[in-house]
Order: sequence, then structure tokens, then C-alpha cells
Amino acid sequence: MIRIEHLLHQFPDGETMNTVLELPRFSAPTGSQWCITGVSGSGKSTLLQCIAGLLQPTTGQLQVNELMLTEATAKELDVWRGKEVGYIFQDFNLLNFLTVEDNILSGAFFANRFTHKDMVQEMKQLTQLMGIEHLRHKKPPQLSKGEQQRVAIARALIKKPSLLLADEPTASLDEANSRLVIDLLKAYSESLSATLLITSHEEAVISQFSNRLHLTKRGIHDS
Amino acid sequence: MIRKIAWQQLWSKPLTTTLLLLVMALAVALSVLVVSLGSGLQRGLIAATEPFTLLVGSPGSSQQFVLNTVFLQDKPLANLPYTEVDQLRHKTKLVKQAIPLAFGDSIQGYRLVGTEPEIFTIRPSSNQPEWLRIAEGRPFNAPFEAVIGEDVAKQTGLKVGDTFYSTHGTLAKGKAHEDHPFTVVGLLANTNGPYNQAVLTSIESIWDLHAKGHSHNIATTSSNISTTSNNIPTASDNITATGETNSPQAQAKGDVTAIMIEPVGFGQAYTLASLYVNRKDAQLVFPAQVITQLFNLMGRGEKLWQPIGYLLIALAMLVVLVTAYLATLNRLRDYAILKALGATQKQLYSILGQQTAYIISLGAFIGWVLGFGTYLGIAHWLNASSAISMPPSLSLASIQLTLLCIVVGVVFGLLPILAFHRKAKQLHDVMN
Repeated sequence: MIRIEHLLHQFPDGETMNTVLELPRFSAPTGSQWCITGVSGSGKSTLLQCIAGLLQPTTGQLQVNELMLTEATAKELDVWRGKEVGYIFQDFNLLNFLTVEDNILSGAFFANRFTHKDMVQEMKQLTQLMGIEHLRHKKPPQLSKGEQQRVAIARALIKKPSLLLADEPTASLDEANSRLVIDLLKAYSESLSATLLITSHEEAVISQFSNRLHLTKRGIHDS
Repeated sequence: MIRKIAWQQLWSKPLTTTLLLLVMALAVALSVLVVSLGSGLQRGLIAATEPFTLLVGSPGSSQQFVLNTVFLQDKPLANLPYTEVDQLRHKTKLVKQAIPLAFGDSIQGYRLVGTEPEIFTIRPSSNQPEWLRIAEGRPFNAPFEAVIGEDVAKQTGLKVGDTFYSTHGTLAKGKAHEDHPFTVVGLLANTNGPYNQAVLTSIESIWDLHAKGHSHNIATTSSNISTTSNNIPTASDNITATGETNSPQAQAKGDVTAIMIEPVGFGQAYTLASLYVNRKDAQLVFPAQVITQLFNLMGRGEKLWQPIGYLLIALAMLVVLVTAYLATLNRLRDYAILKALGATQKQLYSILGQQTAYIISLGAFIGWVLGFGTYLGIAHWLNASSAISMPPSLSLASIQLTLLCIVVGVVFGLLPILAFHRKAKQLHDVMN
């Protein structure tokens, strides 16, 4: 369950404050699947980062399940994020100095609830599922964009998060692969009752979601 | 996983990491080398003086006297008549042993030391074995028999039964005494000191060498000491080696360059020393004291180079600090990703701390091996070239200095963590 009230995020721009996100009210039940849409600069990524506890909004209230993110300490946020949040970044944010295998394992390590054996087993299954088993010992710079994206998805899924956030997850994929990825994320969300929030501006992706949150610059439309 | 991340991230920039390790290693190596050399040299020199409790010789530079007699370096001082040995031997309440030494000739640059067989009975201290032990053969017991030191045997290839000619003076290219061949009758065991480079023979051999056809002192010297109250001949007197002194006994015997004395006890050593205080024709020295004085003199120089050493270490640490700081800033994106994955601040500090620990401990270890290895190399070279045996053991000061480098390194290494702490709130911006 995600509950947002009067969320506002601004940053100083000279003498004025620039508003990058303004969201008066939003609520997403546990296990629901949402597509956040909007033009570039409408605050889609900012919203995801606020929901992940990576960014403290300027004002407003943001609650995920029992945790009030806007009042939690940095340590509480870190621990919660490690256990509950699977985040797929727009530019993947893989650790270039680790192998594919270790990048995926790092996703589970900070959840702090798996044995090493379980993590390795899960990692093997995921790499098989994502078709990147043969890349396990390579490092991110040796991979194509599409391969990197699959590694990023595997890293987010390995910890079995209750909240799955994906920032433009299909940006570097063709239509067929894009559909596969969305299907995979939705299937995961359904099987584990995880709340799924993705951002996208692609019609083909948006059309696959019945729940949509449309953000505009300095304003929102809930549909 | 934290350990793996710390290690892999460290080596993702091999050039930076290698530079950090190198700087740390060089700082430690330099410190260990300087301190080890200082203490090793002191310990080596003092150890070499152990068999020589007291030395009696002609007046002159006590340092030159000790360098020549104990370390077989520099030129000998002028001579004393053998009567001095006899007089000392008569002081039985003060002197346990008095052994004459005569210098002046050499074999391929190695000093020929004329002495008496009693020298083989000398012990550096009562609980130690004899200073000069025969490894092969036997001690000399007749003129022109020689016992050679370990280094001499190695370098010249001489072995028991071989013969050789000595040359006049201490240089390898001196005039050879071709009418007096020496026969090697024994090889000395390793003395761990300068006498590895000595050729010991009976003092009569030296007198005999210089009695026939030579009219110079046993010990050639450039010093110009005035004649003394009891007609002791000096280098400038140009006397024959058989000696032209007042005593009939001395007329039968030649001169000596130095007399090794083993006193009856500690107190007796000082009583004996007091007898020489006002003598103008002879001096008595405590070789260990002379070496200590020499080190005190060198210690003044140490006060100059020590701050330079510390400055170098400080500069090295500064390089470590700046490089580590810049490396941390370069890695902020990685830390931001780890934080997004759920790494706590503590875990991120742990990664940084482990990286610092790797650099400091590995750098210190490499530096220590490098520093101590270089010290051993120099010790070996010095041992071979000057027979100063520096102990291959650790000095406490070098360990203390290594620990100091580690502590300073850790403190400096923590500064990038503080820098990271200040940047931690901006991690979000770094990632985007």
C-alpha cells in the first residue's frame, strides 16, 4: 500500500525554487500495477526515487505499508529499501567493477535475509530465465544495453521485493523485448503480490496497464 | 560480499591503487631502512668490539687506533716496545691476559696480524665460546705459519697447506716479501666480525720479515709522534723491526702495534685505565666507548636527517590522503548505487575502511619487506666489503616506525571517509 499526500519536491534555481514534482494525492493498494506517464521533466523519476526513499521530498507525506518514509531515519530507509524495494534504474546503474553474477547477488545481499546458497541458487535461476546465463562472469561494460538491462532486472528481482519500481525499463529495447520485460515484471508482481510501479512514455507499454498516473509539468492528472 | 565489493572496487582503478600502495610502501621502506641501518650498524660495530675489552697502543687518534685494530681499517698508529706487554703481564692483579698485535703487512689487501697463540683463547664474555675458533687445521705454532679468516679463504681460495707471500703495507699492490713464504695451517670459523678478513700469524713472523732487509716499522704510519720519555720508538724513528729499546728482553723481541687486554674485572679495567691517563708514550682505550663516542658524533648528523626522513613520510602520507580522497570522490556513483540497493551508511563506511586497511596494511607489508630486504642486502654487502657484521635481526625502532606509519596511514585513510560522509547526502545527485 502506497499513500501520498501533498507531495512537493523543489530545488533551488538561483533565487527561485524550481518545482520538479507536485502530487496532491495518490494511493496504490498492495499488489497493484501502475504505469506512471508524463513528458520528460514531469517528475516521473523523482516520484519513483521518493517512493524508494532515495530522495526526501521538500514537503508532504509518503507512506509505504507501515513505514512513513517522510519521517523515517536514513538508516530505517536503508534497511527498508534493502529488504523491500527492487529498483530498476533507467540507465541500469550496474556496478562496473563487479561481474554480472556479483551484480545480481548484490541485489539480494543487502536484503539481509538470504543465505549465500539461496542467493546463488536464485541468481542461477534468474540468469537462466533472463537468458544471460552465459554472461555471468562478464562485467557490465562488456555487455550490450539490452543485456545490461536484463542484469538490472535480475538484480531487482532476486531479493523478492514487495515493491518493484522500474524507471523506463523498456527504453533501450525493441517492441518484442519490451513486451517480454513488461510481462515478466507483471507476472512477478502477480505471483508475489508485489506492488509494481513503472514509468514510461511509450504507448505500447502504457496500454498494458489499467492503472495509470499521468504527471505533467507542475501538475498532475489521475486517470 | 562487502569484502568482495571493497577489493574489486579498489582494483577497478589499478593505476590509482598501485600508486597508493607504492607511496605507502616507499614511506615504510624508507623508514625501516634508515632506522635499521642506524641501529644495525651500531649493534654490528659494538659487537665487533666485544673481544677487545681494552686496547693499549701508541698515542694518537683513538678512533684510528680502534678502526685499525678492531676493524682492520685505516692506518696503524706507531709502535710500542714489547716491554709494554711484559709490564702489563706482570700486573697480575689487574690484567688477566695481555696479547700483542702487530700490523703493517697484508695479503691481497687482507691484513696480516702478528700475534701470539693465546689469542685463540679469548672469549667475548665468559658465557660465550672463543672468539677465534679453528674450523679446519690448527692454530699457528711456528713462524710463517698462518691461520686465515673465512672471507680471506673464500676470496683468495687459500686452503690449509697452501703457501703465500705477504706484501708490505696494507694495500693489495704493496711490495712482496718474496723470501718469506707463509703456509696456511688453519682456517678460522666465521667470527661474525672484521677478523673474517684477517690473516693471523705468529708475531715473530712479522719481526722476522722486517728484520731482514727492511728497516722500517712494523706498522707504517704517517703520524709524526715525538719520542717519549722511555725511548719508545716511533714511526718517524725509522728503526729496525727487531727493536732498539733499552731492555735486553725487548732487544730480542720486536715492537707491537697494539696490546689486547683482558682485565681481571670491571674495576680493575678502570684502575688500569687510570695508569695510562698521564702517559704521553702510550694510550689505553675502551673500544666500545670509542665506538659509542663515534655514534654520538654521528647522532648530531642524525638530528639533521631525521626531520628530513619524517618530512618524506609526511609527504608520502599526504599523497596517500589526496589520492585516496580523489579516488573516493570518483567512486561516489558506486556508493550511490550501493545505497540504492539498500547498503547502510555503516556498510559503506565499512567498504571504505576496508579499502584503507588494504592499502595501509599491504603497503606497510610490502614496504617493510622492501626496507628490511634492502637493509639485509646492504648488511651483506658491508659484511663482505668491510667485515662489519650487522645483525640480520629486527630492531625495535623499525617495528615502532612501521606501526607509526600504519597508524598515521589509518588516520589519513579515515579522512576520505569523512569526505564521503559529507558527500553522502548528495549521493542521489551523483547517481542521476
